[in-house]
Amino acid sequence: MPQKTILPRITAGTVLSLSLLFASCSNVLNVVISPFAPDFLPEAHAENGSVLIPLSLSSEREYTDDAGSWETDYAWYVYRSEISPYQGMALVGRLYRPGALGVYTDIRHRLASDGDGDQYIATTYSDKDFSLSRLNASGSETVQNQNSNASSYFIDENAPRTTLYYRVSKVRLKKEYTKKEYTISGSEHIVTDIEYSLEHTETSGWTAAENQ
Amino acid sequence: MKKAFFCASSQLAFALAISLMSGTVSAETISFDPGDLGNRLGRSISLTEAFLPRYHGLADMLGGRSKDMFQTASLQAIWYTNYSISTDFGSETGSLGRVYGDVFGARVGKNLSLLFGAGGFRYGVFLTDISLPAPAGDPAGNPFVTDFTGTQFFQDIYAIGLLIRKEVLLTAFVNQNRQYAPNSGVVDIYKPEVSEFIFGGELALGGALSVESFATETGAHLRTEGRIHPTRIVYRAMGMPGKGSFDLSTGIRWINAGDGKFTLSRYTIPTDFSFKPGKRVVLFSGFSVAGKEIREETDSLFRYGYGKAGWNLSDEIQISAGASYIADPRMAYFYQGNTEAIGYCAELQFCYEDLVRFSIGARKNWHQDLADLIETVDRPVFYASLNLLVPTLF
Repeated sequence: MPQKTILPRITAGTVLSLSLLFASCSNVLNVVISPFAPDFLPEAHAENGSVLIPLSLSSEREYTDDAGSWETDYAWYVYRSEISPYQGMALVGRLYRPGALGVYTDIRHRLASDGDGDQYIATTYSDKDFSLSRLNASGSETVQNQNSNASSYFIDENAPRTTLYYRVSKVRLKKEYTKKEYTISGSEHIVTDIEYSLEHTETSGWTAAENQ
Repeated sequence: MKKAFFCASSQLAFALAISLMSGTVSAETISFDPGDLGNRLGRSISLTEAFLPRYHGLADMLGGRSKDMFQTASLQAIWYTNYSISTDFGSETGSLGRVYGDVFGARVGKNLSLLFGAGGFRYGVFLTDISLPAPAGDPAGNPFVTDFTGTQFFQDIYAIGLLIRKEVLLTAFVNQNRQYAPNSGVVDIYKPEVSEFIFGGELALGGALSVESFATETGAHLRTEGRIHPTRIVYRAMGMPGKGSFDLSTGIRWINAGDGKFTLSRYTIPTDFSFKPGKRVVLFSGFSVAGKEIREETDSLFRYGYGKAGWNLSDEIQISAGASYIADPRMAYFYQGNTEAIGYCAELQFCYEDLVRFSIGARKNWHQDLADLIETVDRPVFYASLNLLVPTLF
């Protein structure tokens, strides 16, 4: 082995090994053992019969690939239980970013044939309604949707006068571009599918508030 | 082509082995009690027993090498589900998880080789039945969350060794045990409740004799184990390289733990055999004779025993099956008062030229599982394992 190639190998191996050593195996394994474990705690303060939960949303887009796909904050979902942090959790409201709400149109392409057997690229459009409903899981209009431009708190105005347990979950709006290549009669056609989605990206541990 | 591939493999300056073993358990809900989880010595022993064989495997690999660098890594995980876990808010259903990972490296010299490695276990209990229901038709769907609850255990082992003339292996290692009390479901890894070290060392001679010992930070003795491989000594005396078709090892293991108020002193005599009567069949067997105290506690002469047979259906496919026995007084709490258990294992393995190995299997009450985590008694484990050897990465 030429002498000049040994040092970079030793250096690379040493750097890799030391980084793994200092990272501590068990800390790395902590991510593996429970992928849905919460890594932050929410705050909740009872005030004049309501419970205030400080939350923030950003309008910045985070680009996730070279095709231009991006994601941004959509809303915080706020869950409450009067029983325990583990039972009886129900959605009580959302703190949303107004600019993220609306109807979004997915665009998909596929190869199709007409009556003469000629191939063509068919395009389909489908709307997704990402506006917010006030319906809860039981179908009653109790969910409080609050504008994050008006307040950096979610205010639980209907909080019962008892010990309450809260969890929050951030939802992100994602726009994904997918390039597709089709060959029709020897010529290549490149089209781009567009798909919008919402996803819970981080869910909290729990906190308690004494609403007296 | 095959020969060329092996030649190329033998020149690898870097070898990465990744094994992934995941298991799920489905059994009726039983109460969880942190039996072995709370036993720091038991956890340290489990970690070193997972770590050192792989470390020794790396040392064995160095035999035919010249100046080269090796690295190998693995990841294994088992989840035991359906535990009823006591919380401040009543009983909840949860899982016990155990994940193991390691990374090793070696710098090979003519007379002196340096080996190093790091490994770790992450044990913990977490609640899995937390429901955050979304209204029907909500476009974001339901979020998932699993709270950590009860003490969480992080264990790491760091080892460094010198292989002198490929005969004498001198190793020093340190175990770090960290415990955490989760806050409202969250573990802050920067704020351990307990952090302590256990130090250890091992001396191995020609792969035929070895002595290993643990001590606490204050120097108190915890465990010593000595092993001898008489068959390897015979093979060496006859000028035969390697382990031969028959391998036997035996020794004594002495555990000596105490907290100042009482001392626990136990010893066992573990013995293991392997025999390869032909090209297609491999047999493994072993037992551990219990010391006086364990015999009195379990009414059993043996701490454990096992037998396992592997059959190569072809170069690519192997099946194996085995049965085991273990006696442990700690089992009574988890196993309706029983202190003995019969276990089994069965495995189907696919391999491709030693570079890719995939296996699936099932175990229940397998002696090693119960020695590591007594809480898992009477629980079947289904697992899959993937091992890859990857050519030079740098």
